[in-house]
Amino acid sequence: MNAVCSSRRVWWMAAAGVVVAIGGGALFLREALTPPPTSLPSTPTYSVVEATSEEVHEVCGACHTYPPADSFPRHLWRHEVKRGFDFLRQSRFDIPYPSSESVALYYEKRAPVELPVPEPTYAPGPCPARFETTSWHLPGENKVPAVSNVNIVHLSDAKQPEVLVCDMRGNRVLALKPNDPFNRWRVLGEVSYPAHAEVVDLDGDGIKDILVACLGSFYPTDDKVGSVVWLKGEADGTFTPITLLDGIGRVADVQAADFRKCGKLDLVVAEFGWLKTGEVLYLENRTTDWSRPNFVPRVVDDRHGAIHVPVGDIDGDGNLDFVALISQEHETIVAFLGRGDGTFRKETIWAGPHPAYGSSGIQLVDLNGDKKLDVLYTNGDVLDTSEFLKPYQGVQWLENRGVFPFTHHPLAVMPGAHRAVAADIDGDGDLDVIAVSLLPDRKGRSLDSIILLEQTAPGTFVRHSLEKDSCDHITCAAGDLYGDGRAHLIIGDFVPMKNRPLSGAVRLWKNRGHR
Amino acid sequence: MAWSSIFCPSRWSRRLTLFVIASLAIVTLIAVGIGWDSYHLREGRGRAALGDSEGAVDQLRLCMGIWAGRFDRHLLAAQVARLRQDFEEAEAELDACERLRPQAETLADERLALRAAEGDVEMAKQRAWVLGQTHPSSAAALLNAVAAGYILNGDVPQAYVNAEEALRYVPDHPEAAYHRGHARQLMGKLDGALADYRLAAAGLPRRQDIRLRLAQLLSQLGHPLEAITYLEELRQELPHDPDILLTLARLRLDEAEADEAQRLLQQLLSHHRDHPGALWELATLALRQKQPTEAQGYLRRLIARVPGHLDGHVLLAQLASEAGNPEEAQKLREWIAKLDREVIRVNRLIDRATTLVAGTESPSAEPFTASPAFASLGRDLAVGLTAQGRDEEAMLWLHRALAADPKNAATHRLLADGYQRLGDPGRARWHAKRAQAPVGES
Repeated sequence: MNAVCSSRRVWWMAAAGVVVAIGGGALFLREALTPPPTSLPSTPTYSVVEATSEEVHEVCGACHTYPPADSFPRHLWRHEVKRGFDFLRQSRFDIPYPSSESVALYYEKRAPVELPVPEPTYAPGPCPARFETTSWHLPGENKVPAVSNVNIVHLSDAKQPEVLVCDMRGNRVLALKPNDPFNRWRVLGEVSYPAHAEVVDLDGDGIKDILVACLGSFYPTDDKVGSVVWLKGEADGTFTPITLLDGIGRVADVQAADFRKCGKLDLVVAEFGWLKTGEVLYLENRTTDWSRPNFVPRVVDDRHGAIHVPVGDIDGDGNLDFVALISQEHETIVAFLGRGDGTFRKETIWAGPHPAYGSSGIQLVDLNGDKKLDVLYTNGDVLDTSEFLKPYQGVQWLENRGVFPFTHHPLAVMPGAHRAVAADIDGDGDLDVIAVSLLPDRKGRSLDSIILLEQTAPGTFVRHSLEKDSCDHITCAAGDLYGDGRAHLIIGDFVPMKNRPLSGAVRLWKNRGHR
Repeated sequence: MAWSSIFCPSRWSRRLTLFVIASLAIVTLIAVGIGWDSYHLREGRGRAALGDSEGAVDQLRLCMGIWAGRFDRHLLAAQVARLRQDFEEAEAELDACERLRPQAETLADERLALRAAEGDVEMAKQRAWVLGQTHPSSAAALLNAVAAGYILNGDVPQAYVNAEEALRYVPDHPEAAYHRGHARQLMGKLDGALADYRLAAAGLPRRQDIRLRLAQLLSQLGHPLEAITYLEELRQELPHDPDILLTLARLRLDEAEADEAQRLLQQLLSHHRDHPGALWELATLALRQKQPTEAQGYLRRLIARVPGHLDGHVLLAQLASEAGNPEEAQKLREWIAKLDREVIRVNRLIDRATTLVAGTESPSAEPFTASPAFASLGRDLAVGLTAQGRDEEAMLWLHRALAADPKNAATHRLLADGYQRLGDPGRARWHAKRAQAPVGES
């Protein structure tokens, strides 16, 4: 019996052993075959020391002026340094350069954590003028507004001004008579992404024409899509588009003037381009037969990023000059002083302190009434970097005291300031300044979108806020639209995204006179 | 016979006893096997639901395929294949599932997920909404497939919305974080994208695609050292991957380590002869090192590989002119003039198509982007972009074209060619098969 029981125990134990072996084996296999999860690398495997000031000056200076550390808040510097090195890598500079990490460390050590925008100081009293506002939709389908330029011009009637509008979304130039009770827009010409339009009698036939600077592309590009189009005015009030220049980078502005005192209008062209293309061009008018206009281009400045090229006699020598605002990394305003023969001498009117200054527009105007043309200048471009509000953006007055460079007077801090024009808004005989802003991302702040800088004494301005928060204004013009002696405002809107309520593309701020 | 005696082995023959024990062992083995498979399938499903394709594959490998688990095994294999974007394999596995249990709800859901990941998202969105009430984790998994589909189609805002929704169901879901990060990156919200990629990489540390994306974004945002650390680790795992080698080489150049960069670029060329990115970097590097002859050599190879490479032609023309070779420079300039026109044509098409996608053209009208005409525009664009060596952009527009007209054979054919060129034969086969499907041109 004992032997039998012992044998039984052995078998039970064997069976149990098999089960345990299988179970244990299974567990073992599971553990053995499951690979350990990969861990993420925790810290960089090597370190880099900060670049020296000399190294940073040298590497940045290869392309542009040295950007001071306080031009960006600390957290953005790495991205900026990376952009710089991307350019460097594609360039032909053979300078020895420090590592990008060492340059980033240099800036991170010196940059402020934030760049606070100071609260503006307003004039104690009320705004000296009252306004009545109207919003105009452009004809056609219900599109998101993308106006690039507005102008107050005399087209067919010397007494009745019209509002001239460049519509980037619709690829057209339009005009409206503000007295028209039905607000009927006339499409004057269809062109490729018009950036700027000026009225001029180019061929001298007594009929007003329109010169259009065409970007040729809605988006930034180095493609040679820019052109200068002449909308030739016909006797029946229509316009015939004639391309005077194409196959160049994006064109932002064109102006006509008789620089050679020969009775012919030559052209100056701001070919903005983008990163690789772009120049300032002079087009000499050699036309003898206007059925075949002949303009011969010549590069007068090979820097890209030209925005505006207004014409005037800057140095008072009787010869016409022009001024170019050259943005991008250059951020420079240059006077091209005419010698009366189609050649120019260059003088720097003013250079921005760093390549991220964001130049956006200029107007030549004698702001303080000293009979010399000054430069009214805005720097508020945020379409490149919109990550933060820039406290150095706003409206500047570059006073012409007869010497170069001009004397710089900051007039108002205004992030996103895109255009400023001078006009006598309060009717007191001196010029005031109107400025508008374009800020697609307001960072949740309530900011001025239209301001009036009232000139209270020659060269002294006080600030009034005309409108807040609607920072969709890319351009503006001021002039007497109704023959009442008052300066009324025309403001053009540019909405980059559709996720906003659609508003009129063009706004009229009708000046109702003194409060 | 007393009952007790029945259980006494002494009454049994030795052979019978052995039989009983063997049976016991077999039953135990089967039970353990089933338990083993269930455990690993459950684990695998859990990992796949989080987007951990590699972890799910490990679990799948450990499954023994015991009959009772065959359906689940195929289903898991289909999920893994979908996550790896091997749609052909995923389809085959789902067909195997269908033969076993055609009515299974999980099979239907996985089919929806696969369709969504391929870009056909509508049904999956509706199902996710239903599942969201009772099975939030299943809804999140489906929404991830939807987000992946939207990314493929180039509808980035919708990808963002669906990934965000998945994260609402399962907070910190790594796959959802990855898709949201990808959408944010495409929308230019780079800091948010970086945070999402970090979250995804921490949750799915073995996903090489996520780590590569994280490294590339770190590089873009100017964190070279951290990016290099990730990329060096990835290089150990995938020593010949062109994206890893090229990104790493560019970073080394920025870190003033030209020799190491050059070595990496040569290594890249040794495995991917005439890789356009490597040739361009080597050409510009040679120029900076005052070696114009070498630069010309690389540029000639580059334009032979990509005849529409505008920058390559421009630089070569400049060098030919500087080297006193005006005839060659002139010939190149003539070709550049043609290329300029072609680049403008293609970029104009992009502007037009981008405006249509953004909906700024006519917000109130019927979306044009859902029409065969848009698909045709997308194909035109893709052909032009491919000729210029802009392969990734070309693929994006092809997927947009496919979303507008899903059964178009021509689009599938172009996608098949594109994936073949990009070294993804699985997806190339998948699209080639659809290009030959009887539906034909739509």
